[in-house]
Order: sequence, then structure tokens, then C-alpha cells
Amino acid sequence: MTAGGANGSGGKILEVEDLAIGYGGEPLMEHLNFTVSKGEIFTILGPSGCGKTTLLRTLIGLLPPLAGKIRIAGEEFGPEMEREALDRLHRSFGVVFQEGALVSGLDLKANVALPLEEFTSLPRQIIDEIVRLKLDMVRLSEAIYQAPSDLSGGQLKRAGLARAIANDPLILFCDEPTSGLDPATATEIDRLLLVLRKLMGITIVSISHELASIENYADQCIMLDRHAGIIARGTLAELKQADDDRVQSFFRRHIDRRQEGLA
Amino acid sequence: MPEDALRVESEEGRLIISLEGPLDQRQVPALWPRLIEALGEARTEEVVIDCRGISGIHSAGLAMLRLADLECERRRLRCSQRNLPPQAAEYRRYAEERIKERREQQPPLEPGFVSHIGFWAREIIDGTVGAITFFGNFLLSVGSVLRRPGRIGVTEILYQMQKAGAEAMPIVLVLSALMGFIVGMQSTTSVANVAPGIFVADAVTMGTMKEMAPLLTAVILVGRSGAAFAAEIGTMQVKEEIAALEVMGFDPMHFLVLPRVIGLALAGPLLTMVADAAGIFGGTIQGYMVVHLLPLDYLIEVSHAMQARFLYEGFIKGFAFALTIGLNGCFHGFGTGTAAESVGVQTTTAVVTGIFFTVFLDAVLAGIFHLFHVG
Ligand SMILES: Nc1ncnc2c1ncn2[C@@H]1O[C@H](COP(=O)(O)OP(=O)(O)OP(=O)(O)O)[C@@H](O)[C@H]1O
Ligand SMILES: [Mg+2]
Repeated sequence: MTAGGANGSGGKILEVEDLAIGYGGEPLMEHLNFTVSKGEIFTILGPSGCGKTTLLRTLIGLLPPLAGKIRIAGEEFGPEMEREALDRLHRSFGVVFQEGALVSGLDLKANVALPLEEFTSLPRQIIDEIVRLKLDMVRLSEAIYQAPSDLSGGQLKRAGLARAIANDPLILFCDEPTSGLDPATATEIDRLLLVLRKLMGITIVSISHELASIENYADQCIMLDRHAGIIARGTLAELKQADDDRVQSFFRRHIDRRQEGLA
Repeated sequence: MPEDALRVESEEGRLIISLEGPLDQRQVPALWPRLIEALGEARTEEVVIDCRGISGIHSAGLAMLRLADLECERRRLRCSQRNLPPQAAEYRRYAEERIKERREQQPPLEPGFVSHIGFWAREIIDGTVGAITFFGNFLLSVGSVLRRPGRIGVTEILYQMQKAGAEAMPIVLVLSALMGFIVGMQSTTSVANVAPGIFVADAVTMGTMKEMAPLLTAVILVGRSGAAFAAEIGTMQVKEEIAALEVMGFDPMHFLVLPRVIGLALAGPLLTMVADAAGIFGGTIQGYMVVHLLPLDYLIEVSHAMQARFLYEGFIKGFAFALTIGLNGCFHGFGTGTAAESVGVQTTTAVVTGIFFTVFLDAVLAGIFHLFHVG
């Protein structure tokens, strides 16, 4: 099992130390510190545009960190790493991008089979069986021969998830895995994340806005703010107790219509 | 793989296959053929796959166990699996549940050969109808602009002329001068047998102005502008920008196609003239270097050989080619689907058909010019 190969330092699989993130040398957030334990479901919360996707892109090595350190399974991770070690780590990641990010020239089946064909020597039959299984897990088997351009936004996202888990990753990174899905499908995806964690020991780092999803699966959360960086951390229950206004307004998402004069 | 990862033994008329170690994507490729082999050699009616020794379950392992079941079914063996570790058993249960849901639905059909022919035929028909519709819409748009000329964006046309015309000048100059030089070289030998060397200038003038300059310019326009139009409009199509413009009430034909096509159609003849001059310049250099003709003598001969109709024929060709190339590029841009790769396909098609139409049109125009001036 991929997940069996690496033991993080003291059960920590991802360690972020004094990280600064941003584009083109311009920091968006600085002094980020957090750790993710092996087998944990770690959720990143925060308002739109605060830099959650940017953080995720930095964590998976698509964006260079402006300062600070990222350690994955005890190994320092960054652009200065050797190509081979970097590729090896990347192969143990599963990433679900916000928009699915499937290869548009291939149908769904080929997209999900891609990591299996490239990085394993599994026989064709077994790959086909795994692909069907993963598509069943995200409830997309009816679209197996369709091109990504013929799928809806929510279907694309689920297809992206199927591809990300095709090769049983060590860490799964998800950018809003359930946004844009109906409640039943979203609950199914939440359940799938729990299954992946429980049965395969996959560590999951997920961005989410869906309170219901976070309640379903999150072990640890951090809440980001555009200017202040991490403004709250802990379990969901701990976050709900925080007396920061910005944190409170996240959980108190309703407007008083009488007060606003809208009634 | 350790040798004992798969052990086969017979016991009380049953075949027992014991699996060991992690059933992950590194083990499975070696295990699978041995498992199939063991099943193939089974002389008993009952097979038991014992999973007591496996450590952890991987999707590859799960898939292998499921396929083993199917294989047994195919060989009419009674197959059971025992001692699956709890985690693996739970994963298997979860998977079976998902698979059962799928079984309850209508399975999707893999597209076959006949449906590919169908798609292909429909594409040709749709393409032809689309091209006619596109051209019709373009004419309507031109008509509406002619009735109210104020509506056309002059700045946008000038911008397109600059991009398609002025910025193409260096490459047109260099290639045409080289082409003039080459035509000169080719003519030197053939002229030398029948006429004084100075007649090379006549050959270069006629060859360049009537054929080489318009064709070469057109090929450059196809590669630069035709491809760019297809890619620009195609990318906008993929990102749904055109759909957004449409629902805001913009006419994409007016907004995107007219400025590009008009800009290119105006730049075409101008570039052709530049190519004429450069070609003759290249010929002059060749005359001086190879046939030792003085440039002044050469240019005087050029002026004798030149006829007004060479110039306007080139002009007409430049205009017609550029118009076709622009329309063709835009048309293929709009033909882009919703997938990113389709931009590449459409751009390639725009270049290939652009060259085809240019040469085809050249033949048609040659016929028409011949009818009007015999000679
Ligand atoms: N490629 C880029 N170059 C420069 N700035 C960028 C780039 N992409 C995003 N940004 C900026 O970085 C900030 C954070 O963007 P990011 O995509 O990380 O937000 P987010 O928290 O994921 O938002 P959402 O919840 O809407 O997805 C935004 O203000 C955005 O303007
Ligand atoms: Mg985002």
C-alpha cells in the first residue's frame, strides 16, 4: 500500500512552518504554521478569495513558497527538491482541483486510468476493474465513456475525485470537493472521504465551505483570513467556541431580515 | 515478490490458494498471472482463496479478488474467500454496495464502429451547413454595416491591420526577396538558351508579380493570421466568452469577425505590393551576383516588362486570398467545441483549409484573368 511506505515524523505527515504564500513575490499570507497527522481529515476554511486555493497550490508544489518550510512525511518538500524525489512524492498525492481539471482529449475512463497506466504495471483487466470501482464510488459509472467537456460542473468534480483516488494516494488534497453538488451526492462524497480515511488510512487535506460536510468528517480545521493568516484552529467544536467575530460570522450565516429592512 | 506470496495446496477435494503480504499495486502485477494460472490448473470443483496472510488492502488487491471471483464463475468453480482482514472486508463490502447500485442502472454503451461513421457523416453535413450559414451571416453583417457605416469600429480594424499586416512585413520582405532570387536562378538557365541574359528581369517581374508574391503573402497570412483568428475565437468559445457576449446582446459576427476579416482583407493587397517590390529586389541582387547585370539596367528592364495588370491582378488576388483566409480562420474558431484540444484541432484545420482555398482560388482567378486578357 502506498500509504504504508512512509511514516511521518511522529505521526505527522504534513508540517508547515512559517510559510508565506502568494504570487510573483507578493505575499498574500505570511507566518502560517500547522501540522496534519497521518490519517487525519484536515479542513481549511475561509472566505472566498482569501487564498485557500493558493495555499493548496503551494502545499502540492505548484507554487513556490515565498518563505518557510513544508515537510511531507518528514521530507522537506519544495521546488529545490530533486526531480526524482519530487515526482515520487507527487505520485503519492491525489489532488482534486476546484474545476475538476480533467484531460479534455480523453474520456472519463481514460482519465481515471491515467495514473494507473503511467505509474503502475498493473494488467489491463485490473486497471479496468479499478476504474469502474472508483467511478462507482463517485457515482459516475453511467458517464464512463463521455468526454469531460460533456459533463456538468458537479460531475467534473466527482470525476476529478475518482482520478485523484485511482491509485490509492498517501495524501488526498481536495479543493472544495462538494461545492455545487446536491445534498445527497455531497453526503455520499463525504462518506467516501471517511471510507478512504478509515479503510486505506489516506490523509485528507480539504478546502470546504459546507458546514454540513465539515460536521460530517473534519477532525481538525483552520480558518484563514486574507490579512491575518490563520485566525482559528482546532476541532469544529473548538472553532465554534472561538470569540473572533470573523469566525462567528462563518457559523452564524443568516441575516436578520427585520433589522436589514428587507422583510 | 517473495516466493511464498501465493501458495497452492489441495485439501479434502478443495484447492486452497493462500495469499501473503500487501496486495498493492507493486505485488498485484506479479500475483495476478499466477492466480489465474492456479485457477486454470484447478482439478477440484471448489476453490478457496485464503487471505489470512495479507496485510492491508489496496484497490488493486480488491480488484484482483473480484476478478478472481468472476474467473471462477467462468470456469464453473465454486469459489469462496476466507479470512479477509476486517478492514479489507469492509472495503470490499463498501465497493460491492456501490457496484450493486450501478448494476441497477442501464449500462452505458461503448461507442462502436458504426456510430463513429454516423458521427463522421453528421460532422460533414453540419460543417457544410455551418459554413454556408456563417458566410450568410457575414454578408448580412456587412450589409448592415454598409447601411450604417458609423457602427463599424475603425480603431479595431486598424489594430487588426497592424497585427496582420504591419507586423508581418519583416517576414514577407525576407521571404519574397529570397523567392525573387530563386525565381531569378531558375530563369537564368532557361533564358540563356533563347535570349540575352537581361530577359531574366522579365521572367522575375512576371513570375513574382503574377504568382509568387500573392501566393507567398497568402501562405504567410494563413500561418500568422488565419491560425491566430481560429485560436483566439476558439479559446473564447471554450471559455464561454462568446456565449456571454451573445446573451449581453453583442453580435459576435459584428464584434469579432468583421474587424478581423476587414483588417486582413485590406492588409492582404498592401502586403502583396510589398512582396512585389521585395521579390524584384531579390531578382536584382541575383542578376548582379550571378549574371553580372548592373542593377540600373535590370530595373530599366523591369520597368519595360511590368504591366499595369500585373499590379492589379496581384491586388485582386491579395484581397481575395486575405478575405478567404480571414473568413476561414474565424469560421473554424467558431466551430470549436467545449474542449481545450478542440482549439488545436480547429487551428490546424484552419491552416490546412486556408492553404487549400488559397491555391484553389488562385486557379479560379487565373482562369478568369485569362478570359479577360488573352495572353
Ligand atoms: N494566478 C494568480 N496571480 C495573481 N494573483 C492571484 C492568482 N490567482 C489568484 N490570485 C489572487 O489571490 C487571492 C486568493 O485567491 P485564491 O484562489 O487562493 O482564493 P480562494 O480562497 O481559493 O477563493 P475561492 O473560495 O473563491 O475559491 C485572490 O485575491 C486572487 O485575486
Ligand atoms: Mg479557491
